[in-house]
Amino acid sequence: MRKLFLILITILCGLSVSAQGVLNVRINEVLVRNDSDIIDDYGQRESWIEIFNTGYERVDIGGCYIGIRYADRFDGNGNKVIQKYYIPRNNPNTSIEPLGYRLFFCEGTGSKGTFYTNFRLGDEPVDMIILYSANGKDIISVFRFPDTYTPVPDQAWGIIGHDEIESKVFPKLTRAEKRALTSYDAYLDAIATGLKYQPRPMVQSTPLATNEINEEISHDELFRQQDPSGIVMTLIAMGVVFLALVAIFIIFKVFGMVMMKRSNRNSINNGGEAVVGKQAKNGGYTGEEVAAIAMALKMYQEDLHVRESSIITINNVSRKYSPWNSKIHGITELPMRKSHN
Amino acid sequence: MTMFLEGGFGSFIGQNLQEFWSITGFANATWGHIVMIIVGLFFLYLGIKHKMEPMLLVPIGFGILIGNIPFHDGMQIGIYEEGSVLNYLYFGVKNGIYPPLIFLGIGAMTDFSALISNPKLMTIGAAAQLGIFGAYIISLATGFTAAEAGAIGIIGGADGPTAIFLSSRLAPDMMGAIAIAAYSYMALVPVLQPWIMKLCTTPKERLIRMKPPRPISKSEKLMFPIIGLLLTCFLVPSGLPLLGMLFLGNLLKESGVTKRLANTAGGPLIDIVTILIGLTVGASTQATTFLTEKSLLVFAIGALSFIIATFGGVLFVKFLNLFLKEGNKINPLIGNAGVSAVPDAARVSQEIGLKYDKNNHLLMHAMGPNVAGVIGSAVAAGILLGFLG
Repeated sequence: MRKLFLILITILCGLSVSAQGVLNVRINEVLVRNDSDIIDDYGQRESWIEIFNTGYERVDIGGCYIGIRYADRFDGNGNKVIQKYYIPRNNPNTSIEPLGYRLFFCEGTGSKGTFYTNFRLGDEPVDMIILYSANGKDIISVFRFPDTYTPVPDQAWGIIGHDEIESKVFPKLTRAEKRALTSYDAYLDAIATGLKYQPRPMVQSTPLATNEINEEISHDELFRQQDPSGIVMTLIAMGVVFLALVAIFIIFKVFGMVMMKRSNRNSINNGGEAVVGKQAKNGGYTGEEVAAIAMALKMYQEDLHVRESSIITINNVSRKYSPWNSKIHGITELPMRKSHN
Repeated sequence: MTMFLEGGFGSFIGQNLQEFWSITGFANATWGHIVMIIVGLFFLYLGIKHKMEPMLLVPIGFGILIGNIPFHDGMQIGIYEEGSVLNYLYFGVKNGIYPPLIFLGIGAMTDFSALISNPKLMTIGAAAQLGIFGAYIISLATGFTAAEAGAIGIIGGADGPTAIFLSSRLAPDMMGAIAIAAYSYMALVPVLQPWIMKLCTTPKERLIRMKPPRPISKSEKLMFPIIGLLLTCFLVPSGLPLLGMLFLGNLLKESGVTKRLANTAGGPLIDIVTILIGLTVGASTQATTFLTEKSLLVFAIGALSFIIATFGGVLFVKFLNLFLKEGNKINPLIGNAGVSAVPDAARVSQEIGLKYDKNNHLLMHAMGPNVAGVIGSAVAAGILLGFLG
C-alpha cells in the first residue's frame, strides 16, 4: 500500500513538472538585426532570442532545443530545414525563475557557452523559431514571422499579452485536421496560426524585461477609469460574497435537514422518539437549559470541594525509627586513620 | 595617535563624544518620532490598562516604539534597511506570509457550530461586507487610486490579517496605516457599534428570542471546511491563501485525528505569528512614512467603514425578518457581528441584548454571523485582489 502510494506521488509529481513546468515557457522576443542594440559577454552585437517563463514556478530549460526554420532551404521530403540548438544541461542558469527571462545570442558556433547558439539568424531568411522539449520533438513554443517579414535594424519582434500562458491557448488539432496536414511544415504552420498571441513589431526592444512597455496605465487604474464611482465593483463584489455564502447556506440547510431526519429515524429505530429539534415542544430541556443545569452541577461540586478542603485533619506526625530514615546511615562517614601499634 | 598628540587628549575625547552623540537617538529625533512614540504609548495604555485587544495592541504599541527610535541611517537596524533583523522579520508581512498562518490558527480555534446549526446567519456575514465597499467608494471619491481604495476598504472587514494581506499586495506603502487602523477599530468595536445597534432597532426587536441552536453532528462539522473551501475558492481563487488556511485549520480541529496539529496551529503557532506580525506592523509605522495626510484619511475612512458595516449587518437582519415567520425571526442585535472582529463583535451583541432582557443570551447566535464575517471578508479580499491586483 505504501509502495503504491509512493508510486502515485511520484507519478503525480512527474506529471505536474512536465505539465506545468516547461510548458509555461515561451519564445517571447526576437531581434534579428542587432546593429546598435545590446552587446553580449564577448562585446559583440548578435541577434538574440528571449525566452520567458510565464509561470509562477521555476523551470529548467536545460536539455530542451531551440530550432530555427529556414524559409528557403528544403530537405529531401520537401520540408523546410530546421536547425536545432541543444541547450546544455547542468548549468544552473538554465533554470528560469518565475516570470523570469533568459537571452540566447545567435552567434553561430555554439562554442561560446550555454547561451550562444550554433546558428545565426540574420544570414539566411528564417520564418520560424521553435522551442522543443527535451525529447526534441514535442513543441513548447512557436514564434513565426509573417510572410512579409524583412529584418529591420534593431527592430525586435515580440509577443504582447500575457494574461494567458501560451500552453493554455496552444491550438488542439482534431484527428481530421491532423490527417489533412500533408507535411510537418503544415503542422507547424497550423500551430502557429492558431496561437492567441502573434509576434508583433515592437517600438523598442526589451531584452530581459516585459514587452508591455506601452502599458502606462496600471491594471487597477484601468478599472478605475471604467468604474470611477466604484458602484460596479460594489455590486459585483457584494453579489459574489452573497453568492459564496448563500451557496454554503443552501448546502448546509439541506445537509442539516438530512442529518436531522437521519438522527430522528435512528432514535425511533432504537425504541425512542424523534428528539432532534423538538425538545422545547415536548417539554424537554433545551440546549441552554442543559448548559445551565451542567453549570449549576459544576458549581455545586466545586462548592463541595471547597467545603471539604476546609476540614482540618490532625495526623500523628511521630516518626518511627527505621534503617531507611536513619541519619547515621545517610551520611558518608569520613575515613579515619587507624593506628597500627 | 597623531591626532591624539596634535589635538590633545581633551580634543580627542571631545571629537569622539561628538561623533557618538551624532548617532544617538537624541541627536536624530524629530517631532514625528516623538508623536509616534506617544501613539505607541497610547496603544500600550489601551492594551494594558483597558485590556482592549491586548494580544495585538501590546505588540503593535511596542513595535511603534521600536520603529520610531531615531537612528543614523546605514546601521542596518531599521525595519526598511535590507539585512537588518527587523527587515527579515518584516519579510513575512511584506510578502503576505503571516496572515495565512494566522488564519490557520483562527480556523483551528473557531467552532462553526453556531453557523452550521443556523446557516441563514451566513447571509448576515455577507451583508456586513458592505462596509468594505462603502469605504472603497469613499476612498475613490477622495482621490485615492483604485488599488489604494481597495486596500483601505478592507478595513471595513474588521479583520487584521486580511487587511495586512490585501494591503501588502495592493498598497504596500500604506500597509502600516491600514493595519493600525484595522486593529484599532477592532479594539474599539464596543464603542463604535452599540449606538448604531440602538439607532436601527425598535425596543420590540431587541427582545426577540431566537430558537436555540440544534445539535450538530460530527459529519456536518467535518463537511463544513471541505465544502466551504471548494465553494468559496472555486468562486474566488484569489482568496485561496486565506480561505485555504482557515478551512485547513478548522479541518485539523474537527477531524479529531490531528489534535496535536490543531493544538499547535491554534496555540503556539498563532501566538508566535501574532507576536511577529504585531511587532513588525508596529515597527513599520515610522514617522516619516506614517505621519502623512493620507494616513489621517485612512483612519477617517476606516472608522466610516466600520460604521457602514454595522449599519449593513443590522439593517439586513431587519430586512431578513420581513420574510421570516414568527418564532424564526432573528434578533437584529446580532447584525453587528457580521463584521469579523471575532469575538468582540459577538460580545457586543450579548451585552446589548442583556441590557434589554437579562435572560436573552445572544452570544451563541451572534457567533454565527461573526465567523461568517471572517469568511465573507476573506472572499471580499479575494475579489478586490482579483480585480485590482
